[in-house]
This record gives sequence, C-alpha cells and structure tokens, in this order.
Amino acid sequence: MNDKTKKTLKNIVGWILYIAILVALIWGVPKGLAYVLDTEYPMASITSGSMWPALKKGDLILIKGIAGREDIKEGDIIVYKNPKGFTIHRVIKTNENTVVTKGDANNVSDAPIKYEEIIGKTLTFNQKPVRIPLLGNINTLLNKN
Amino acid sequence: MSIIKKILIVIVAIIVLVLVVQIVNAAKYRMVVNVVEGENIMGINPLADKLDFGDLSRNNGMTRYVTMKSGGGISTYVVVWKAGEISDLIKVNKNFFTLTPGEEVKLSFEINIPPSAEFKKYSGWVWIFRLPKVI
Repeated sequence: MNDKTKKTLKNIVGWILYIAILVALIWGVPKGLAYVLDTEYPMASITSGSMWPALKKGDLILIKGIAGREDIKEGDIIVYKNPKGFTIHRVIKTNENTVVTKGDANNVSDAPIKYEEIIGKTLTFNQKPVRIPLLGNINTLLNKN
Repeated sequence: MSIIKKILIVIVAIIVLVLVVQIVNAAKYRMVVNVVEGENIMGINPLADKLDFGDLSRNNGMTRYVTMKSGGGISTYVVVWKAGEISDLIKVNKNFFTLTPGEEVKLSFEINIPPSAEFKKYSGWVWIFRLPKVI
C-alpha cells in the first residue's frame, strides 16, 4: 500500500468516525436528556411570545419530569399537552385537583388543567429557566419535516 | 499556492465585498419605546430619522411606517432584519419580498407592549437590505 492510498484511507476513516459521532450525538443527546431529566419530552421549542421576556420565541428549553403534585408550585413554568401540541406557561394558582396557568405576556389566564396533564416543568438555574436562544427554531424546522 | 486555493480566496473576497456593500447600503433605523406606568398612555415623538414609538403603557400599541420606492431599473429583494431588546415586541407586515422597478411599498412596524414588559426604555435597530435581483 503506497502513501497516497494510506492517506486516502485515513481520510475516509476520519469522515466515517466524524459522521458516526455526529449521528450518535443527534440521537443520543435527547435520549440521554430524557433519562437524566426523567421525562419523555426533555426539550421543547418556544413558538410564541406568550412567555416574553422569561422565554422568547425561538428558544430551546429543557424540561424535567415531576414526581407528583407536590413538585408544582406557584411561579413554576410548566409544560402540558393541548390539542395542538404543548403549552408552556407559568403556574399562577394551585388548587386541590387542578392548576391555573397564564402566559406572562397574556392578559387572561388559561383554563384550569389537571395535575395528570402536566408533562414537566422547565429546568431552572439561579431561579431562571434554562434556555438556548434560537436553537428552538432549528428544532421546530426539523419537526416540521 | 494551488489554483484551487487562489479561486477559493477570490470567491471568499467577492462574498465579503458584497456583504460589506450591502451592510453599508442598508437603510438603518434606530427603534425606541419607553414603557411607562399607567393605563392608555401614548406619547408620540414625530421623528423621521428613527422609529421612535414614544411613551407607551402596557397593553398599548402603535404602528409606524417606512415607505420604500424602487427608483432603479432592476428589481431588488428586500430583507428586513431587526435586532435588540425591542425586536421581540415589533411585528413587520412584510419581509423577504421583491420590489419591482417603480413599485412603492409601505412597511409597517407595529409595536405591542405586553403586560409583562418592564417600565423602562427598550431599544434596538432595524436594517432594511435591498439585494439586486439578478435572476
């Protein structure tokens, strides 16, 4: 095997490794996050301005699972399913069986939801939701196709 | 230096030059709004050099317009890019469109102050790029 062939082979192996790592990351990061954050849906994209300025359109947020209703407090930003997808709003009132939420930038509160409908709450750091600006746009685009 | 490298350098240089020209030629407007306490407060600054939305209280909105007219002989592709803290509050009625020769378009910049806005001055920029449409 001459030097040129060796160099070409080395390049090909390098590219295969690079693509394998990339695929593993794309596939593995959500799986890993789902395990660590204990939820089926560890990430979500913000598609409206209803939580501005805490969450901005295009943000990617991390969601952590909840063990039960004792994990939900007023002021938490929670994620729950609606007929069109997910709603990510702040808890303004907790009742015995239901929770009332409202988007920070909205004037009216949402209809009460049951605790069982809650998927999780946003991961926070220093009492602020962890958000990755603009990355949510990519997530939204990928999910569209 | 190989020929491929030379060609790449020329291509990159042309791209950089085009970008610089577009950035220099873009219409740039400063946007500013002062969110004030109270209800239904609206104080207008009728300035033409910037998109000043004046004083606005929460749950209030205002629209300002920029009129664009194509005086050249070729069509241009218009891209509106907004930046800064205020940009989340602004809606532009039209973006990514073609302006044909002699055509006039009125761009509206609508601001709505949500109840979660802080009482302070929000500012930012809007850049309107006009890219010559060759094809």
